This record gives sequence, structure tokens and C-alpha cells, in this order.
Amino acid sequence: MVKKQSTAAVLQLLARDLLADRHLYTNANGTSCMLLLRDPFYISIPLSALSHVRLQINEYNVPESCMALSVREQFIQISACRQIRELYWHMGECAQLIVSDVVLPGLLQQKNHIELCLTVRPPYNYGLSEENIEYTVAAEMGVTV
Amino acid sequence: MKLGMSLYTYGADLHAGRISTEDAIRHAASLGCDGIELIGEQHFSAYPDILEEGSRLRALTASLGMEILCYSVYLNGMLRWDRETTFSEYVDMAVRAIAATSHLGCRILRPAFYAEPVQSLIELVQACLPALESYDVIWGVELHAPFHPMHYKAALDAVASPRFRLIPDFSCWARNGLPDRFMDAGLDTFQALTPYMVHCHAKSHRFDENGEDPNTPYRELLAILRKNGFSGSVVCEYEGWLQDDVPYSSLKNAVRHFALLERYGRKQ
Repeated sequence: MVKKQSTAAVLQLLARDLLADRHLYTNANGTSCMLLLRDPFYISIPLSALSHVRLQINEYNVPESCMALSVREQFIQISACRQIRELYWHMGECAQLIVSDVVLPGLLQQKNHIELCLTVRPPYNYGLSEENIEYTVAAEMGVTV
Repeated sequence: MKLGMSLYTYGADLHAGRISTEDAIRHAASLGCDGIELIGEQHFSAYPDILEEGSRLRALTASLGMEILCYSVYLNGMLRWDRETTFSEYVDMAVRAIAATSHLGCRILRPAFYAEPVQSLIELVQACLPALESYDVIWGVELHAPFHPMHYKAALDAVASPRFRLIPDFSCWARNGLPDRFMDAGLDTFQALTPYMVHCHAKSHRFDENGEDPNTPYRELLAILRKNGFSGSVVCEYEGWLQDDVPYSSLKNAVRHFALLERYGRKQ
């Protein structure tokens, strides 16, 4: 069997487009915030391809249970994404990563250090030696109400 | 031989949301392309439902004097976490893609399917032959590095149908020096496969200062196609965008790439 071992490493470079901008959009009382994300895979993916989302804000690890993804106004808890095969996150399209966590009001500052990692299990069988591709990005992000 | 552009070439700007599929189609037309290749999972904002958008893109393409030369999709084997895609689900997926190809006014479908062993591809194509006939569509199996050029020959001979043809990607004949470990297959293998070919992906990862691809023998490959009276289509498929840093323009690369294809692909 031919293994394309370097494919995953090359695709990881597309993490460059993951953050659509450098803003943390918050509601008026700061109890939730939202990041605009672009599909980091090289083609559109069904949400079932999304394995995990890890988000760190100012060194605080946001529990995955506090995050949801909104694609074309359909809100889906991250843990439920694996069951969604019919809804695609399209290449170039912005989705919203919504964070609702009681610690946010005391956590967010004018400038925030963000570390984000999306783990994608490609729905197509490429014969890769790795099952998952991790897209990791770090950025300084301001708050926009 | 028709020469065109796979919109995959515009991946850097489409992926980053800087341009739209319509922008890419208009740009390809401005270069003098005979047609384009569309990829379901890259160029349709409502994929897998492509009906309405497909009608619009088909009309736009025709209005610019071009045709949709090939429609590409991925037959996903791992949509679910609890099990792999079954054979009947693969057939359903493929038949929907065949119908979508017809809806686009296109005759060539490239369904990416991980065929290990190749026998699984033979069985799938045979199950789809009635639909291919009914919709007047040709299944083009893409031959891509790192597979050997002869990887699908047995399957092509076993199915033995004009509805099942080959789409060679030039990466199979690329020389060393690429980020991946591509093989340096002899041009005789390309020559031997020409009777099976219906469409080609003219792959490039970079160009030199003279607009040549230093890794791929464009002159020789296109000369073989012309010598053999190839009447199918060849489209540029620039893939350097997966590696290169932004900012840079996929539009500029499309200009260079299509100029290279025309240099050796048009009658001389």
C-alpha cells in the first residue's frame, strides 16, 4: 500500500487561514465571546470531520463543553459535531466559534493571547499514516463589543 | 485538445476568502481558457446540494465562452465515526455525482476514490455503468503521484468501457526536487497510457524565471498528447498554494501556468 506520509504535514500549513480576523467579539456583559474561523482543511468538510477543538485564552483552557460552532446560523456543540454528516463547513466560509463561560468577564483583557487547535479527521481516505490533522494557531486578539 | 484551468489553481485566494468562485471563473476566461474544472468540495457554497448554484455557474461559464470540462468530487469513506462507508453508500454517492455532472452540462466526472485494492474500484465503476450511460457521463479515474503510472491499467482493461477512462496527473512524471517523494517515471509510460486518457491535470508546484516548471516535462508530455491526436482536455492545476506563504496571488500563478500550458499545448 502506498502511504502519503507527508500530506498531513503539508495540509497543516493551511492553519494560516484558520483565524479570519484578530477580534474576540463579545456580548455587552462579556459572558460570551465569538471568534470567526475559516475551514483550515483544503476542501469543505462535513462537521463530522471535526474531532476536537482546544482553545486557550490568556493561559486558561476553555472546556470543550463551553464551545459551539455556528455554521450558517446552525449552532452545534463541539461534542455533537461528530454526528453531523449533512452540514458542510465550506472552503473560504467563516464559521463562528462561540464561547460561553462564566469566567470570561474576569479573563478577557484589551489584548488577549489566544491559542487554538482544531483537529480534523479527513472524511476521505487518503491512505495517510495519521488519522487526524491538527491545525494550530496562536495570536494576540483585541476585544470588540 | 482543449486547454483550461482547474479552479483548484486559485486555492490560496479561495481558501482565505479573498475571491469567489465567480471571480475565479471570470479570471480563467480572461486568460483565454477553453474551459474549467470545478471541484464540488471547493467551489460550491451549498455543497453537496449543487443544483441552484450549479445552474448559475454553468450559465456564467457559458456566457464567457467556456465549458465545464470536468467536475470533481470526493467519495468519502469516513463520513461516520462508527463505521466506514458501505459499498451501496459509495454507489449512491457516485450516482448523485454523475447526475450532478450532467446537470453542469459536463461529460467528465473525477470521483476521487481510495482504491486499495484496485478491485474495489472495478466493482464500484461496474455498479455505476448504467448511470454513466443514462447521464452520458465518463468516469475519469485520476492517476496521481505517488502511484505508479500503470496503477489503474488493470482496472481500465477489466472494465473495458468508454465510460471509464483515465485522468493522468502530471505529478506522476515529475522529477525529483519536489517536497514529496515523487517518482521519475519514464515518458514511455505516458505514451502507453494515451489511449485511455480523457482529461489531464497539468500539475505544477512552482515556476522558474522563464515561466517553466523545473520539475515537470511539460514540453515532452504535451508533445506526446499532440502527436497522438489527443482530443480531450488538459487543465492547469497549480498546487504550490498548499505550501507557499501568503500573501501572494493565485491569479498571477494562473497567468504563468496557463501561458506554460499554451506554449506547448497549442499547435506549433
